[in-house]
Amino acid sequence: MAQNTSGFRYIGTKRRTKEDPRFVTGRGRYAADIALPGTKHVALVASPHPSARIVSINADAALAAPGVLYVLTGDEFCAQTESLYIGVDAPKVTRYALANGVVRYAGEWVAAVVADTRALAEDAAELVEVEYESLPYVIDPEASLAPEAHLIHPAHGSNVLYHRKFVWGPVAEAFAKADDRLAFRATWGRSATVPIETFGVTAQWDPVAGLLDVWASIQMPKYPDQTARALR
Amino acid sequence: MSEKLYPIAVEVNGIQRTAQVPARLTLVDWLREDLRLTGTHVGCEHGICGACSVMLDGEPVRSCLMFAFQANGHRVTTVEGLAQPDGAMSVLQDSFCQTHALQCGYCTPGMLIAAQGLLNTNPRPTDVQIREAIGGNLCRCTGYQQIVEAVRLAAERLSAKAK
Repeated sequence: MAQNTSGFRYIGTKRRTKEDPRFVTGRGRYAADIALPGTKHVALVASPHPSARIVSINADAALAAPGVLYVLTGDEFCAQTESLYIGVDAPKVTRYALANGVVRYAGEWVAAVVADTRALAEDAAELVEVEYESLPYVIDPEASLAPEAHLIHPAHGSNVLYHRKFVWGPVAEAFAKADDRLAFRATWGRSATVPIETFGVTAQWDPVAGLLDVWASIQMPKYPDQTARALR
Repeated sequence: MSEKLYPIAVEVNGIQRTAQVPARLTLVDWLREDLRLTGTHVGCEHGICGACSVMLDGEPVRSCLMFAFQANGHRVTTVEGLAQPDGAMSVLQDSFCQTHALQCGYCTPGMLIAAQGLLNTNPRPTDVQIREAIGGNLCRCTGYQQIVEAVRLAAERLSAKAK
């Protein structure tokens, strides 16, 4: 262990963490390391369109593929779950784990295939036939503000989901007294959490105890609340 | 539904393992799922992130870009095989702890493999050579500086030991 060279008792001490040894010896435990007996695997079918109406989903070939147990579509999923929290004040905007009738971005999940192994699930996911009717789309956030822009959530009536003015203290007064004023426009890129672990979930339903155990690579606040609410 | 299986014999961390594997099974999936050596991680699954690095006959490779069958007849070392024979951490593993070269730990096994591969062939690497050696491994926590420090520290310790 490193020696305390700081001269202080409580601060500035060089220390080693307790958890590092398990990580450097390959004994960490991550979402993908959970291996429950009898685990089934899910592969997702993603939309190639940025904006489209889902006309039909034909899962016959996928269901007939080896090891496949179920194909879940957005229609069935959304009818039986609640929307996830969207985090802004826009009550008519909904978001489900599977697309609900329309897709709003390329890569949005439209169906989930359940099979005995991941490889078999992925094989079958390629056999799910989805018919789309392409809709207008908007990719640039600023272009989405134009009056004629395609509405991404028509029920909301606008493409502005969040608009807030941040004011701390007597701003107007301070500006009135200022000798000079500077105005500028700032834009920045979207940021997202993209850990190398990526995202994975293992879940186990215990019908006797009435408990759903979930192991997930996520640190989002209220994830259990969100899951419980979505599942009713 | 049964896929055709092929016999393989691979030395993994000093132990001879035999198995019957489908042709499309990747080396990392075989190590993790069949041998339960979950220390090797899967990140991008297409050779970019380096989290799945293992040694093949002493040289770092991407185990997500190899089929298990391709390891047939070869020697594989995973992060679980880097410790000293008595189970104590290797000098490199200990140095990672010393310089705080990790936070979430997901990239760490691949970093250790890449760094050990460097130290095996170059006991006194420069910082540029260290950065080059770990250049194929992504870390999203540390900013790499402490990883470079760990490898430098391990090289110093190992060469002091050798004297």
